[in-house]
Amino acid sequence: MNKLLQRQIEKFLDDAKAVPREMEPLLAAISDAYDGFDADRRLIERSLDISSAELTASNDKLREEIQERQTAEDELRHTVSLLTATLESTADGILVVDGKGKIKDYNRRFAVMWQIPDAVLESHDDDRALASVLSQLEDPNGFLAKVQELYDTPTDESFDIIHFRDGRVCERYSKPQFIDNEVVGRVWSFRDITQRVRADQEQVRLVAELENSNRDLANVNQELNDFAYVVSHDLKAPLRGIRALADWISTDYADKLDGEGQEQLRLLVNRVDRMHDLIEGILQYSRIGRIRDEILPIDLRTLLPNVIDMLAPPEHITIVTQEDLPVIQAEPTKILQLFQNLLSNAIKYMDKTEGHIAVTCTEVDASWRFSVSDNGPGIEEKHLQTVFQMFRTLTPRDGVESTGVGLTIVKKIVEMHGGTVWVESEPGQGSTFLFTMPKMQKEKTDAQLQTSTAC
Amino acid sequence: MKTIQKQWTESHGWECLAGNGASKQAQLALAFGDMSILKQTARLDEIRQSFPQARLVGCSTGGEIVGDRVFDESLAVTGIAFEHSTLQFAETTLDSMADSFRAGERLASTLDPDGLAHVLVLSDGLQINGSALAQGLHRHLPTHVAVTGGLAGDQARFQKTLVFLDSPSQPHTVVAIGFYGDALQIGYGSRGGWDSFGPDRLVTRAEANVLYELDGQSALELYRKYLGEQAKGLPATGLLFPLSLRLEGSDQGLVRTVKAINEEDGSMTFTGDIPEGSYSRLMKGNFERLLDGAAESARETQVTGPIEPHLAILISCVGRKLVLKQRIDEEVERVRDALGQDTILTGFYSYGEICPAESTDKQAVLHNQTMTVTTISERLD
Repeated sequence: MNKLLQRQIEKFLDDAKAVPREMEPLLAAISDAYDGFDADRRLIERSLDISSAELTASNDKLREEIQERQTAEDELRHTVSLLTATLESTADGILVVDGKGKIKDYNRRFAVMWQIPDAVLESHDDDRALASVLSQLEDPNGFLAKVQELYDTPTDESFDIIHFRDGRVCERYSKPQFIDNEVVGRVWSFRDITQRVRADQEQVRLVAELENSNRDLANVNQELNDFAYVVSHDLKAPLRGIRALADWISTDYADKLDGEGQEQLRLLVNRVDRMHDLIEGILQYSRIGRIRDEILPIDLRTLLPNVIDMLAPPEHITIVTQEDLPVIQAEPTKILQLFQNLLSNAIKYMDKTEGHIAVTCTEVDASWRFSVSDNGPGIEEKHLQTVFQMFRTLTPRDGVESTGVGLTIVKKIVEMHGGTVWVESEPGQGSTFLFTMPKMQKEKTDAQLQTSTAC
Repeated sequence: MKTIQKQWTESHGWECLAGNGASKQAQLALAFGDMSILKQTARLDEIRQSFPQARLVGCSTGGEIVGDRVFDESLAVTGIAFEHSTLQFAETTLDSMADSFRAGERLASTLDPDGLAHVLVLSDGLQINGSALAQGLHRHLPTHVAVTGGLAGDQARFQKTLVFLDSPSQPHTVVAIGFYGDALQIGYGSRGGWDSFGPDRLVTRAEANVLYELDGQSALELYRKYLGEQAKGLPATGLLFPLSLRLEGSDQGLVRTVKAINEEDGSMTFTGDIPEGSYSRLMKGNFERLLDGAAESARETQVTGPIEPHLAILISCVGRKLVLKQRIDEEVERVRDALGQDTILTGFYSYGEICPAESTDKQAVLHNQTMTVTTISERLD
């Protein structure tokens, strides 16, 4: 019997044992009901506890989820704003469509490029947008075929070039947009390359033009060179005749000429010699361009002492060469000529009682850089640009014998080898001639050669 | 329409309880009884003698409803004689639970659709998917015909149930009674009165009416946790916590109860489908609300059916009996109060109820934990 009922019976009945027999089923039913209510109460209390714990847990989880969602939303907002900014900041026109081709997004540049009215774009209707652009194209059918092809093969990327009737040219790129490996749409981007195409065309035209004028120039140059050679060569014979005649006159008519006549004859011979030197200079210069030698390794440690020996500098001038001069690739006779001219100039114009000339070489990138410096008279700044021009000589004619061809030949040889030459100077203190020479020599075509000598 | 009611108990034998008609004319004898009594062939013979013209339709129960009272270990028989209506009967046996839908189809196609007004179905209470049975029945029934009925019970034992037409012969039987005639007035209502509590739980693993996991956790463990000391009474004590289901894309709630558990694979078999992806909540009984539910189902029958019906068949869930205990009679009284003093009440405590969700619907669904009332009258000339 239920304990509560038992206690109640004992408490409220004088004699619990005296409960009538017929009352027993009733008491049993009451006892069952008590037990039932107790069990129910326990079950309800238990389920209330468990359920409240579960609800608390699920509440916490929800709160976490809300927080996560908030974070995700913030990130999404950031991504969307970045996307919008990117879309609008790019120079390309961009169009985003969904899997069915409906317009999802586009940037201002796209609308402007295709001249599509806002109302059409805002309708997101791809058919209307297509209809409004077709008339602008040179090949609307090709354009449509490409669009259709890509709808049929949604995972393909594409690139092609579109020509507008108004002359504009566009590159069209497209890539599918994926979510979880599913194609959900396509991004089209359009780049206006009209300027670039025009610039390319202009460049092709300019190059052709330049080639033409180069060819003309080379022809003229060649003719000029041949002319100079022929003329100087042909001039030499009569000049030799004049010289011979002048010699005879001065020998055979020495007693017949007075002092003034003899002086004038001496001046005549001088001028004839000078003219001969000039012709010889022109001949040398034109010969440089006419004759190409083989490019060979040249050991400058051998070549330079030879040059110096040949020049036989006077006692008061010392020439110092750097010890570790390199072996260079070049035409040997021209390199010899090059150093000969530079060093003979330095010797010729030396105005100091103790003359110092130095030859050095350093490596600059893929070139050698040579310098020939002296402590001679130097060159005034206003003449620095002109010393390499033909027949320029800075000293009075009759002071130092100079034809003014030497530095022009130097310049020509350096440029033939792909280098540049220049001079630095401190008037009164000396000059330094510098030139570069690429380490690797490539065989040049005649046309290029002629061009480089055109000046 | 005339009815006569008799009841047999071990202590009193046969007693005549109510009646206004001659038992000889009865076309139908509805017998609801305890399994042990239904097994006594003598009792069934006695019924046949009392109602010689009647087809005998019956089932085992979790308690019998006669008059305003609920009985255990009794046999309640109601003989019904229609004056203007006829009946047809159909019977089939279930091969397996998977046969439920086809069993419904077989029953419905046996009944002549012409003039059919209503179908009452009594099914085996265990080897059945009640949802599928209802769907199978409607597959072949005219759309204006509703189905009501229930699943046989056997106290809270969940071991074996019995349904029969005329005589108990085959196990796993389903019987359908077709009601024909213009004079018939039929009403039905089905209400529960259980309260959902605790968090929403997603059905993460289930196959048809077998549930494995809620929110990725074992469903059986969840029930054990809630039941505490009463867990050893499973599956019967599972009736204390029915499951309310909210189907995906629908806001209509359904109630499901456990009818078996499987310790080996940790599964629980329910009386009807539990679709994966639906949301569920545990429910608990509340005396007042359960009683209100019973009254409400009675009132629901009056929306389209007779106001003061001649006969009311009450099929109530055995789970309500488990909660209401000694107060169980009160739910029958509440039905009585709603329908009036002259209505003959019969019925039983079941393992599942079949009835349209609303009295204005025809398509029946499986219910659990409800009081389901079917009222029948014949219009007077």
